[in-house]
Amino acid sequence: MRSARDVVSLFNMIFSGSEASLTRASPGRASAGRKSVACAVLLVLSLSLAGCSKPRPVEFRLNTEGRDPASISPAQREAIVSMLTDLFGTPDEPRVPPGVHLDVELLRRAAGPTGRDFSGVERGLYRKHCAVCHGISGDGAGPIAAMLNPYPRDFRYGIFKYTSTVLGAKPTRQDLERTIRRGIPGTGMPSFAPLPDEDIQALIEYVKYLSIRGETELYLLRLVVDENELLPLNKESVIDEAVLPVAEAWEMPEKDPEHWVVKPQRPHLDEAQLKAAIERGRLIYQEPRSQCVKCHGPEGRGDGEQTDLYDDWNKPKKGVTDEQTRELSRWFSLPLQQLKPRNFQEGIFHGGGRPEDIYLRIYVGIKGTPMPAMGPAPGQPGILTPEEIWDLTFYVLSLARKTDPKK
Amino acid sequence: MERSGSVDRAAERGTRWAYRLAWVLWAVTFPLIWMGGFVTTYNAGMAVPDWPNTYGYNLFLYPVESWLKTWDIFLEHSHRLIASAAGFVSIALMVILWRTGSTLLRRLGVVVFILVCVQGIIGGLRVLGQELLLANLHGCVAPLFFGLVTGVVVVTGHAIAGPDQSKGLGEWSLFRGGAAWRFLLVMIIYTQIVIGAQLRHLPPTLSPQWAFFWTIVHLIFAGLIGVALGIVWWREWREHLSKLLWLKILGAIYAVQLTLGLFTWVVNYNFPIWFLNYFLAISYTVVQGGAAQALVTTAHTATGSLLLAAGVACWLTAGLDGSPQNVRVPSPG
Repeated sequence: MRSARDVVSLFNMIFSGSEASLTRASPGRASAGRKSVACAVLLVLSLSLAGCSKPRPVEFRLNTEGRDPASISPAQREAIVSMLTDLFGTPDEPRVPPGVHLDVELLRRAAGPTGRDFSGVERGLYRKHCAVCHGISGDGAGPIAAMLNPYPRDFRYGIFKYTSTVLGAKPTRQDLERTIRRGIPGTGMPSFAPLPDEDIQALIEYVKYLSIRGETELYLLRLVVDENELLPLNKESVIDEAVLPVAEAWEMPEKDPEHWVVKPQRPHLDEAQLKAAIERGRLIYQEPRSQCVKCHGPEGRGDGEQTDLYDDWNKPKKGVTDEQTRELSRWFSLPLQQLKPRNFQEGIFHGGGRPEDIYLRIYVGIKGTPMPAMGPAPGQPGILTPEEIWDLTFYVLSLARKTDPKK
Repeated sequence: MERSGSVDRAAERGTRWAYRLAWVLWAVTFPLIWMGGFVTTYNAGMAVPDWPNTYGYNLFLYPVESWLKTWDIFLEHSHRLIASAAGFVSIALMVILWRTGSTLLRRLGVVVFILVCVQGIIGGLRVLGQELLLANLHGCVAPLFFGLVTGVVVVTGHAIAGPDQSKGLGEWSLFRGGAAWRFLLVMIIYTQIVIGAQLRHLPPTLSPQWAFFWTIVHLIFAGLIGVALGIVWWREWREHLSKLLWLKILGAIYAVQLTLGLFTWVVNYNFPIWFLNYFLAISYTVVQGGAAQALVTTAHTATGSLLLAAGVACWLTAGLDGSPQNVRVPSPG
């Protein structure tokens, strides 16, 4: 009976603020108790209101990199944003423009807020795994980006560093998959190897979507802001002149891999042959035509005379003087970041440490960076032959003491 | 007189049971914090779209095979089950504390009950509203609850030991002398936990400058905890050697927490470039959702709560036993 009375008096105290149950409590304290209970109830009510409201929709951020946002008039901004929304939808509800071959189901898995629906299907994979670094818009300026070196990739320019495709070509699906699965050693880009295959495919599709959208956005900014095109915009002409050419560029390496994709065929070498290849590679490394020493230094320590190196995303921020650099950097999300050529002796290779990976880095270069493509491309003879590139590959690996021919 | 004696004995028995139950609640809350940490680390907070039900089932009737089938659902549903257990134990603790008759213990019981309810509702509303801000708040209240439960363990333990349990908090020297410094230490630890929660729940639309700001503030407060710990130690070690046990425990947890903090960065974002360039070149690749990332990051979160709990115990033991200045070790000769 006593327990029952206790519980009743307790609930009296909580819900009516009665001080009857507060034994030996002074009236002042009881009043304070009432206030605390009232505060707790108010807190719960206000949280209820916050929680019951629908989640705030998330929007793509307009690409104003390198320009004063005030230089874009509200009408121009509205025209660009509404055209992009019409063509590509929103981060929560993506849309595929006509003529673009992207899998809508995969996009829906990757887009939107993180979580599962009532059928148990997981959504919002991009926000779950990528957005904290790459940002909602794929601008490489997610919350954590400023603290990473190198910065996360900005997908909106359609340039991806580590590919198997020749200069000027978009990456293949396998290139993106390789980077997502393996990650990039020595950087903030993790390996997503534990993810199921369908999740990785959804993320690849969403990266392509953000990239096609991003390049369309650049076209619209040039057209509307730089060239002051008369509004309203014509949707069909935007699709024909911007969306479809970009989408086709993404399809080219898949449709014609013989032409666009480099497939490394590693030569089978015994120990003596490998030694000879390394020696030939050492000579090529020192030759002026390869330009390796200029950045990577005579012993491959990354200490060449060329130090003022920037990638394509940072070059526009660099002025001649510090003052100029500060002025230019004002209109970018992230401050200027300098590149450091790879120190081969450390053995950290961002594009992968297998001989095939190094071969590709030399053959097709690292896109968007000063690392040039040395191999032949359609219509270009190339600086080095494939055989010379293999020799150079083995030399670079020997500097990192990773030249076991069986691996 | 006889009746009064039997009432006292009943109250004493009640306090003993309250002490045991407070330990049970502590033992349930700590795994709950770990599980909540795993939910955040794996971004599994929205793995179950409804609340308080689980995919339409009553929480306790959700089929075991569905519960165990998918990792993120397993984490979120387990979190809810352990949270329910914490809720039930909290209610039992409140009832037992009520029966002790002590004003202080009764109030503590009610606060435990209110806080566990508020925390459960925040967690539920986070799911219904898909609101990251509520997830953030949920992460801030959890250590507060754990600290409170630790406080109940210390106070009930102290009551069993004999002293006058009917004293109000104001009558103890909780905010005077050495205890005041320890209280300040607890406040700094909790502020650091709140800052850490901001980093754990970064909205994807947040500007990089804000995340940078929170990181710097988090580092500054990590240092501040060390400074505050040093000050408390320096004030007390000469005159109060026997009371330094909790400070030693706190120092050990702090050292572990600092190490975990550094590795939390590494397993999430890799070694900083300056470290690789000038100290040690390690070809390490972060593995998203890998065991190292999950364990280290979650351990950092859980150890933060443990640090707060140790801080609360350190503060209360000093305050309840009297001001450390009053308990001097007799000087030889």
